Amino acid sequence: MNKKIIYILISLAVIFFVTSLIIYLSSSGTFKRAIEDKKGESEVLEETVTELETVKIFFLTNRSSLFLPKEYKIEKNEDRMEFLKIFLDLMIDESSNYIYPFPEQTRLQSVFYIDDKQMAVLDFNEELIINFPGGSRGEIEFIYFFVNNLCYNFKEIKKVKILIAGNEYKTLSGHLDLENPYKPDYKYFRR
Amino acid sequence: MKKFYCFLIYIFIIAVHIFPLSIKVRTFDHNNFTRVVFESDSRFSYVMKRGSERDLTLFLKEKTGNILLRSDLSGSELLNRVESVTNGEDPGIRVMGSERFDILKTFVLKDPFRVVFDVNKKNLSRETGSVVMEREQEQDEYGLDSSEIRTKKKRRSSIDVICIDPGHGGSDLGAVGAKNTKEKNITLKVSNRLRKIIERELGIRVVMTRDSDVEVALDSRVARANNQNAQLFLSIHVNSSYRKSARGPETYFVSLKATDKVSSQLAMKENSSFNDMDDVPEDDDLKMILWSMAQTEHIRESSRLADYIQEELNILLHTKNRGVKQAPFRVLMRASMPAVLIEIAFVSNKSEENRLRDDSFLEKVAESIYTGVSKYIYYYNSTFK
Repeated sequence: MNKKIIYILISLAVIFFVTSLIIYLSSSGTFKRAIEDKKGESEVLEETVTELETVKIFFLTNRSSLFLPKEYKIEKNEDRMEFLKIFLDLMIDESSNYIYPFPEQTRLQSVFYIDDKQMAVLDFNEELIINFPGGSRGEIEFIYFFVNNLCYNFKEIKKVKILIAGNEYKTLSGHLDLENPYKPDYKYFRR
Repeated sequence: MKKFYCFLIYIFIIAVHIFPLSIKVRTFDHNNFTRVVFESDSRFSYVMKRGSERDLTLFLKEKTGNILLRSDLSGSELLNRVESVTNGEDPGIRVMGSERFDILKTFVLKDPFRVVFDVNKKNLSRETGSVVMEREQEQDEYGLDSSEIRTKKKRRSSIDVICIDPGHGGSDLGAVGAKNTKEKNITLKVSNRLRKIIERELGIRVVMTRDSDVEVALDSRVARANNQNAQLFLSIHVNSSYRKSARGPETYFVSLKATDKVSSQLAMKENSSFNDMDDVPEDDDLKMILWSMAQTEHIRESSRLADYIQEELNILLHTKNRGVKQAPFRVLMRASMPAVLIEIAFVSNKSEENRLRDDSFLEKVAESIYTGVSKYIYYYNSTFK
């Protein structure tokens, strides 16, 4: 075999080995840690105290026809939008044993707040309307789960508008009007 | 320089064509008139022309370029077609009727900009439903404000038309139970039975929003009731919930409390027919056009009707709680008469689904609703005759 070709093959093998090593170390964190450890040697760690905010989320259960409250403590966040997103993540965390009044495939695509209208807008994916099982009671439970919980925990939210895949729908499954925003109706909550 | 001006004109022409004026046309039948609304985000000048007694055309002045036309005509049986037209250089929108019609009045609203026409069928007596204005002094239990101007129609001496609305239909199955029980079939069976009993026992004409397995748009259902001058609207449904233990009948009527107060006021003002644009609240977020709250003046009567029906269903299904509830139901909001939505039972509940599959049970449900309706009619006749 030509000597030149052997050198090229050896060089390629070395490059391949070094690249693999770098990828492995960075993905396992060893590389990153090694760098950070070195950087932090002379630094003194500051102890930070996290302030917590108590929120009350009302869930649907088989025990009552009314939504029942559960308290959570969330890390306080000056950015209210960020706090709202964390709150919503807690609300729709389906790992708990509560009854969630929407289809499994439902995802909250985006959430935004309109200042001058004091209105939160929730935009769900299309799976919500495709898989929604129907029924007036089902629609009421879905709408007021979000409207009441948001208005109850966020003073700045006075009403909530629901969109699906960015669009305004007349109803979810032929009952409650979805073209207009909703104000809270706490008769569905046991406070 | 000449080239520069040509360039500007060219840019202007392109801009006009790239950004057409968006206009949405909506129509909706009321008891005694039909309302057509041309809505746009920007103000426009117009000239209204009539080619025949069956159409109405709005030509836009000082507007070159295209119109982006959208329409929602599902709320009217009278005005049910729309098309784009041109008159020389002026683009226009023509709304066509299934019958000849007269224009009663026209007015303009702002935020968003709307041109509104109220029309009615040619030779239709204007005596039915003539409108009188009155001011309510006290706040009532349904959240209506004291100083709101409200409209009231003169009541007819007896109830002679009832509209029954079997929920869902066609490709809209409604709620479906674990045993594949479809809401659309149950609602049709109960509604057909109810129709027979009412016609036989009370001799009252019954209008159905559907009498077979077809899909009917939500707004068309109540438009039919309004168009036929029905005096009661009964929407029949089957309930469902993720909470499998949920059971029992529920009768609903429209709620205003849950909706925005400003929108309610706007609805009141629009319903009360005015020409003063400056009197309109500066709130466009709800897009709640006046007619959408036609139900406001009938809420007390709807509540009473719901009570009578619920009472009978509670006896039938041995339910203890009252079960009459308020919520902003789309199909009820635009009804110009006392209107209720009846949820017979929960198809999501195992034992109630079994009952819904039994025809003799559905017969009893129809009889119970009939008894509730006849109690209301007795009350109506003894109070208003």
